[in-house]
Amino acid sequence: MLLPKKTALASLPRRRLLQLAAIGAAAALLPACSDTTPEEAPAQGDHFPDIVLPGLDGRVAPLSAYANVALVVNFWATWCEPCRREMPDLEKLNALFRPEDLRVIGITVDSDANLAREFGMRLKLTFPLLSDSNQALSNSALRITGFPTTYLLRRDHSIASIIIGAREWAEPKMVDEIEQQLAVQRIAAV
Amino acid sequence: MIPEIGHLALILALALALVQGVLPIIGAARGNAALMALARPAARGQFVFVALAFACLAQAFLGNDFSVLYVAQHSNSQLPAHFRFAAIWGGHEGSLLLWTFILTIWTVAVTQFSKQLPEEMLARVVGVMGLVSVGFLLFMLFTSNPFDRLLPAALDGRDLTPMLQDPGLILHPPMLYMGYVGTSVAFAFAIAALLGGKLDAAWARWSRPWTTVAWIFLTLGIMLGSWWAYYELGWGGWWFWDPVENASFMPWLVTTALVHSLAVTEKRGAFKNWTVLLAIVAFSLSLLGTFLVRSGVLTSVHAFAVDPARGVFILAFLGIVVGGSLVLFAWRGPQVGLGGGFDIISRESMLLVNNVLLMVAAASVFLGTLYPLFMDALGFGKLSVGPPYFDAVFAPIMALAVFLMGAGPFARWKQSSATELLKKLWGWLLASVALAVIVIFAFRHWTAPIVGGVTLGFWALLSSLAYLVMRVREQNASGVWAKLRGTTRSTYGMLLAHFGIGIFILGVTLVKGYETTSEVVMRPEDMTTVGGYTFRFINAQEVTGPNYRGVRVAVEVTQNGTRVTTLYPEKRIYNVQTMNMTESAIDTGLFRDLYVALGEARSLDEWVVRIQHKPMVDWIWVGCLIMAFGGMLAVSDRRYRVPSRRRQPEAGALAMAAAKTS
Repeated sequence: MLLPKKTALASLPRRRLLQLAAIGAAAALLPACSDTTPEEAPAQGDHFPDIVLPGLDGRVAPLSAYANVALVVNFWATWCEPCRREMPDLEKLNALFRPEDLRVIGITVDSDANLAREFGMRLKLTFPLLSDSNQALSNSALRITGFPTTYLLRRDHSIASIIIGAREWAEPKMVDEIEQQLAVQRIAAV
Repeated sequence: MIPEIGHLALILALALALVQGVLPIIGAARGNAALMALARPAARGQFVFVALAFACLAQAFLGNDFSVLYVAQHSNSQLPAHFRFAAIWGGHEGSLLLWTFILTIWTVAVTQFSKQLPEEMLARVVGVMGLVSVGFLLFMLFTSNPFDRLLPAALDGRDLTPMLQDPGLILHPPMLYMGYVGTSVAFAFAIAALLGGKLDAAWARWSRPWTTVAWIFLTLGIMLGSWWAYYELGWGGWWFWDPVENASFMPWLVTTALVHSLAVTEKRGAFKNWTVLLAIVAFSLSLLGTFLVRSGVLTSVHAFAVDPARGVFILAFLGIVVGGSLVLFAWRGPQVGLGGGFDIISRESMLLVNNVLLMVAAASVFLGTLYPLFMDALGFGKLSVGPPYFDAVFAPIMALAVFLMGAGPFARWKQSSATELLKKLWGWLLASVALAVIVIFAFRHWTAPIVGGVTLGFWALLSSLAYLVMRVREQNASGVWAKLRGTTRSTYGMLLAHFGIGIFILGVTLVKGYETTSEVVMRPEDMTTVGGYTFRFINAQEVTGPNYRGVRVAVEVTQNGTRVTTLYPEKRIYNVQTMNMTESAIDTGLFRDLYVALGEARSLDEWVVRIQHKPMVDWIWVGCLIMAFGGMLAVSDRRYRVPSRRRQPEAGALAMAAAKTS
């Protein structure tokens, strides 16, 4: 059963182990990288894509419907604990501004939109919730790697800043910052 | 008084653990037989005292002794007795006691089934396990004593979290801990080999069954956890890539790699260093998992700040175990040697690539689990990567691993050829694709991941069958029955485990690809159709349980006019913690589950009802069961039952024989 012939390679077990390990690792990593396209994700200052996503209430809501309105676009999911925790603050933030000045928009990446809708109902969220369930936007177009990620968009929908991680949105300092960056004014005290 | 006895028993156990951890190892280094002989009695003594402590805590729970802080925090007089017992491991302190108790059980098992081990080896193995125990007992006694008193005593307890009040709690944690702690045996064997500087086929044969048993428990523990989450959480999901789940999955991946690497070390004497490293990593991840879950650090780094003593102890303990064993590995590893060479296409190389893939998979899970923790610690804010990351990274790695898993057994040791493999396997590969096409036509809808998943599932099933056919044909005996009997149990074990993977993959792919969910508002007599079944809301009734109140809804299920079943989902409010719980109702079938859970109530008679049709979902857990059963068959193989010391001189010959039979 065993072949008596000893190849040259067989006498170098350590190097070959390394080679094999490298092949294995490369083979494992290849599929993970292969779907990357050369196109860059929009960064600070760029125009945010004019997305059209279904709302959790069933209506299709294009972002262009918010022409000349500054936007706080929050990507979240029900499996993301920090996202869930910042939701009430986003609701408060939304209430601080006139609809024609600033709106909060939540985009859920939950694959099960029902879970997100249930969550929105339980927290009595009033700002629009859209579903990006196959992550065409968050993963393919924006290359978001972690949640929550929030985009602050000026009135012309150019990106003022990209915020990774949860924040306390209704804190006075944060609201000041948003007012300054997006050139809008709150109507109620914090 | 009884809690104080428990406390004292823990202190005495610590003393014995110190004896067990220090003296036999010194004895082995100096060749002192008297010191080495201490290993067995010390381990057994430690077991007795930890068992006594465990019994004392059980008494405190069953007897509703709310003057014990831990009992007051995790139990209640209304709680049914079996949950009061399981509540022992419903929190941090008791979980640690369970961990230690299970560690002493494993140690006693090692002393019991080690008649063929040389004294030095046994002394070192038991010694290392004693040292691990010292760490846990110190941790418990200094930072997490389950016997701390609460004075004045509470009138009643704060109750066990309602989510844990389920038979799942009775089975899942002990099973999982048996697996976690079981990896400590493989770890102890590895450290013993490093200390002794000797690692041969006999060593691999001794440590292999222990590793496989630990793997079986890990598999069953994770399976039970997944099944529990499925029916208890009310969402119908079975795996959430939750940090707690990942903490148990990482050791499983590495232990799976270790089981395979040990096979090579036993049969071919190769991969020695790698095997040792895997054993160290598997146990380190088990420790990390235990601590991460128990410390609450995964939900927030600030959990450390709540109790700095615990955090510092955990970090120090992990540092000593991981750092210490890696230093030992660096120092002694070269003496252990690498073993024989092999060709680029051979069973060794296949197993090596599979091992690397499993490690890459474990590393990617590790990264995804701890990345948010690092980001938070570095001040980037809290965030989570979640299922999208894991699905994207994990699936391709495992697809490749499963493909190789099917082909691997056909490759010969040392040297094989690709054309020969292709000649043996192309028919089965085509058959897998054909079967996948048939299934997809039956479901009338497809996407690329579904096609890939189903093909891989069939590939795992068919390649296992093909290997069995080949092995049976090779046998000299006459008659199919005699040929089947002539195949070793370890071969059957391997095939069954691989077969289980196939069943598992089919389950995962089909339920992910073809499940349907509907969320509707229903009143009595309302009907809705999901997945070809009609669900009729009959009525809603109030129910009262031993420690909860709730509403039970009756939903009748029919298919084409014939009644299938009536399901009774519930919504409960538990009296003590006033927490809302959803009790889903499931009709289980071989090819589909019907899953009904209640959402919010509009009124007593009007409910949001979540109805799901889940094809093949039970195949996920059946697949795991088959895998575990395969492990059991492998462990029961005859060569592990070589009874006595006199066979030792034949160890080399035996390894040769084992190599020849495969």
